[in-house]
Amino acid sequence: MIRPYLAVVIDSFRSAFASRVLWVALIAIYIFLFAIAPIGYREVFTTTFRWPDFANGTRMKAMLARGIAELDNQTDASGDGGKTSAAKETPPGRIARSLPAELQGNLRKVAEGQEVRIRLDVFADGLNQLYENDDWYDAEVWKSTPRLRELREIESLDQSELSKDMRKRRDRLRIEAALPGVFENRGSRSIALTYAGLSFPAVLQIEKPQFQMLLNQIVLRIIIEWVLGFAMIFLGILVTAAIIPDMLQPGSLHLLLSKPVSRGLLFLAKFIGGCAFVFVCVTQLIIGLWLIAGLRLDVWNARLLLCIPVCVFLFAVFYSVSAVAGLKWRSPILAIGLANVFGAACLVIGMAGGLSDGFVVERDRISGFTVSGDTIITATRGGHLRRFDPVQSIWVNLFPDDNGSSDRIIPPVTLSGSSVATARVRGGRMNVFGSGATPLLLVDPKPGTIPEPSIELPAGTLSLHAMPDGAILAHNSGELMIARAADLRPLNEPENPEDGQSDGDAAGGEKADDAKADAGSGFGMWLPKLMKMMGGPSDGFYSVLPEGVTLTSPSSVAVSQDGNSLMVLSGGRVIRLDRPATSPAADSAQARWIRSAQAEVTVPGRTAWLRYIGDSVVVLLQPKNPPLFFTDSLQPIEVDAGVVAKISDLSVLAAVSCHSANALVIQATNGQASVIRVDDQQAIQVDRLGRTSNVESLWWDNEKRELWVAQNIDQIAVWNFSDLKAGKLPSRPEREIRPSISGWRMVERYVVTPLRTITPQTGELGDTIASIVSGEDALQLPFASAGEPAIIERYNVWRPVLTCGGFIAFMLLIGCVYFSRTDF
Amino acid sequence: MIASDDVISIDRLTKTYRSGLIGGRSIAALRQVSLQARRGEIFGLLGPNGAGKTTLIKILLGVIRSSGGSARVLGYPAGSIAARKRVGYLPESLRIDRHHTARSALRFYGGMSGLGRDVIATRSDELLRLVGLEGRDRESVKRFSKGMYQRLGLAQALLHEPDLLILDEPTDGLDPVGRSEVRRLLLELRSLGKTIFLNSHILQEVELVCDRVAVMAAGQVRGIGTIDELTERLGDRQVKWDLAGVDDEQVLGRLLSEAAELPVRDGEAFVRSAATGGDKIGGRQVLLDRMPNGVVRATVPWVNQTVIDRTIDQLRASGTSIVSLTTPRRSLEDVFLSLVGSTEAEVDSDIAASVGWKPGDDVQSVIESTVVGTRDDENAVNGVAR
Repeated sequence: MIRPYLAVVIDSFRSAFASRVLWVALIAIYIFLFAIAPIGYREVFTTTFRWPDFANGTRMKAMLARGIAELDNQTDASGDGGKTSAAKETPPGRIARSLPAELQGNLRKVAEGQEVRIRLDVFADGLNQLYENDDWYDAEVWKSTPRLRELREIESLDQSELSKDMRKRRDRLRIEAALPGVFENRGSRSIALTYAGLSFPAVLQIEKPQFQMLLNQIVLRIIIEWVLGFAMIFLGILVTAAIIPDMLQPGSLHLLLSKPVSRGLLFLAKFIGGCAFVFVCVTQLIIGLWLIAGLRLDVWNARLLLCIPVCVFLFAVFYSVSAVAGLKWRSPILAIGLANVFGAACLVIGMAGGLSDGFVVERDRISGFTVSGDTIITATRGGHLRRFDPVQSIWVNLFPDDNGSSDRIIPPVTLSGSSVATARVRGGRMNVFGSGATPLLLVDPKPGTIPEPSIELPAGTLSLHAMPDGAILAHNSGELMIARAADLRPLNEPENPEDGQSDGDAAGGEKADDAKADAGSGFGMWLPKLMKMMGGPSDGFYSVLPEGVTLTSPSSVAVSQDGNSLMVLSGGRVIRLDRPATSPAADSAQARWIRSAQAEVTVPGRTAWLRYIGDSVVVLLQPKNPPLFFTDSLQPIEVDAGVVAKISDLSVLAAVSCHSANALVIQATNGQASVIRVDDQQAIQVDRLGRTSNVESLWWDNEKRELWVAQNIDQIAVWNFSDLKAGKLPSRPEREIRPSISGWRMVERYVVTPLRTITPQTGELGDTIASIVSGEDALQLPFASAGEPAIIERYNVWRPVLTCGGFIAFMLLIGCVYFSRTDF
Repeated sequence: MIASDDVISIDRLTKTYRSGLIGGRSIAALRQVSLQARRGEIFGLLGPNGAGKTTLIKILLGVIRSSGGSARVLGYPAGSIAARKRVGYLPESLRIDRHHTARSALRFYGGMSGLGRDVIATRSDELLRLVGLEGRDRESVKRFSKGMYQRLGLAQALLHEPDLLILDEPTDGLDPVGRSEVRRLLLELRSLGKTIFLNSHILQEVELVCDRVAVMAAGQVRGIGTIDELTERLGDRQVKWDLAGVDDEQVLGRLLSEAAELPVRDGEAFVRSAATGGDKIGGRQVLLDRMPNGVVRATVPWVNQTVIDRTIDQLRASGTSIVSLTTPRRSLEDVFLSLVGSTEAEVDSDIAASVGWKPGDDVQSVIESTVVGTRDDENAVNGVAR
């Protein structure tokens, strides 16, 4: 039954092997594989500074400027010819003094209040020069710095045992300790690529797991997309375009049709046979890549082999056009031409879809939201702040000049007074610190109002947290700062005379006191500004971190239900901070919080989320890593391995604590939401929330026990968790808000999307390949470093498969019908 | 009427090719074609280019569909998979992919016919020997001559031991020895009970191997029957007398006419014809021609042997000396040329008249209406159908 068709397929393989083009292609493949085979790597200590290492360049500039200014002031004051006393020296000051003269000059200008832009690579070069000698280091001065375990271990070694690289590593760690909150979290080892044993000059400052992820998610994808997805397919079309026209030659076709075969199946067999050419080439290339990645780079990723069918599938899309064109016109040239025109059309539609995504859909996609009373306020990826108008069922922009696509809106939070706090960081999408000062914006939920600027936010604020007492907690790369409820008022609103605190006082904390102490001198005038640049508390905010504690990446913060405790992740530590006891003294309300517990943890990635589940359980979530559970006193909790595995499989994108429901809801990169519940016996259970998909953001209403889910770009679904404590997880949302769309969104929904559905999205098959190779369902862009919702590129894994598969099926159906019903 | 031993049975088959955007233009490639090929015979299909032979074969193989009428092969609808399983086909311009050797091509086509590898291997050895490609089976077909291609094509057609072979110009490109071998092979296959449907331009070849022949032109069958039937048609065969001692051609003409029982009108005279240049005289059916040596050549339509015997007696009795007597037959080529013509008008009017065929008539109906007569009548009719 199947033998005749098998004969056709086998014959196609034979034909492919007999093709000279195949051998040329194979030679090209082997040249390529031999060319990349000598690539290898070795692990080296992470030493050299590069500009991407700086998480907070502004803070570094300010810290070094302050350090050098303090030293200068001390020198001037002592008048002993430049000699300074170690007691007054600070690590940043000593580092700044050892930097190149030109850079020192610029830092002095910064300290004097001048706007001086210093490029990060200039800082990197300056810091790298410190490796030449270690005169800048003074153990006594560095005593107060938070030193990592690695540094302590290196320093404990006999100095004569240290290699040159280890000494540089030690120096780097000392510099990082001197400038907390400045640097990105980097591993101790980096990857040095080699070629035939020779090292490349540049070093990849990523650790081996990240290197492997980079290879899987980006490098291999690019190779496969370009070599297989483009070159091989074009070559394949050139070679196979003649197969169908050749079959239609009278002397060949009549003989084939005289055999006891079905015409439709004969066409399909020829089609499958045509894919044989690409299969032969692709198989060898991918197996070659797989072996090289495994043998040379220790990346044994068997999923890479799954790219073979995907690449053949991609080829089949174009070949289906070529085959049907060959069937109709019997001309290989025309078949090649049409396949190329079709490819160009797919490209154009794909580009139109991409533009539509970028300029229409992404602008409206909710990145964070809050609910105040009945009013929903959202921040969008496009830098918009919007209020939902239930009468017209539309989103209304709150900024009059709503064109800031490069602005970043800090996800809004609802304050106890029902107003909503948020901020627009100008240019914040490219640079987390934005340009210029960022005022806190207070939004009255009433219709018709516009956001009112309030006190200035600390520089580089990544997220805001509403405290139960109406205060607001700001979280940036190095600090946690609180502004009291009383200080949160619009600038144009008169100060409450009973409050008894001036804005100046509200600066609070020791650092503000320092500033005041220096007031009157030139340097002292600029100190508050430098403090702000460093990400320190701005007017109205005070730091809650204990003395000497600075957040390091990755960091995350969780607020307890009563607002009297904070769980803080900072680098490799989880700290519990408790609100200090209140006292009649005004300053005690601005006192630093007290560290009541601490746990050491291992956080390999750049992002992690620390969240409460109810009141008594805290969980540290890390993408693709086992979660760590603690009691509220940071004692580890043993959790069932099945639950741990289930949570590990979730690629976490965000998480929201549902205190009153004893639950935590996780938003995964695949767009689904999952609920982690804790019962009274602290047994933990994980379930997917209904059929959620395309979740954009989450918000929890602690009083009503409602989970609000932003989904499908800008829709909202409300889930009632009232019965969650009784063990009942709702299967569907209680209500949904589906706003009307207009303008370009209509075009996107009714023109672009149908077009993308009926045309094969071959370009998106790159996503499928990336997903297969990496095993991930989204690519997390390296932006958020503070454990807050990251920007992700969610892979369209199935849409291209479905559109391409549907297209192939349609074309083959046309081909079969035409071939069966046509007289030849 | 379709006999049970008909391997191919075609009844009023028509095929119209349509072209143009909405099929506005049409060409009638087959017009009411009816014929039968019987089990175990070699059936020849003759006709000029464009006669519809290839269209007919394509319909039998299922390559194209008919527009009307019916065609059955081995009892199955023509073109059905069941029919194709038992048919071997050699196309006119066989094209085998250049990556093949003779053996791999046989493996491919054997597989296409649903044969297993072992069967293909065994049959390939036999057939390569049979067609004279033994020892060259590992060569790429790129190096094959046209004749070798034909041999290979023949081998693939025989690979699955079909009951019916449809061969389109099987000796095309072969040298005389090759042709002879193919002819021998065809006869051998016939002796094995195979039915062969042969399309060829080479009339001598057809004459040598075919049991029955159909002559097609302009989409119609214009003649069908055995070679003898086609060439021995009564109204077409003549008797030539060379006679000496003839004094009066008028008397001789009347004698020959009366002996052959040809109608002679009262007072009809054999007159000298201006068209014959003064050398010939003739009546309605008897033609006399005086040769330079004084011998008179008389051409008289063939009736039967009794008439000849009687004529001899009467000539001898009249003192006429019979120098020679011949009864020449028309060649197949004569028949072919007279049947096909380039248009219907060119069809030999005598042949047409003998069966009562007029342009536009269905030849099969003429055949069927006549076939109810005697066997002799049937032969006569079969021999002249268009």
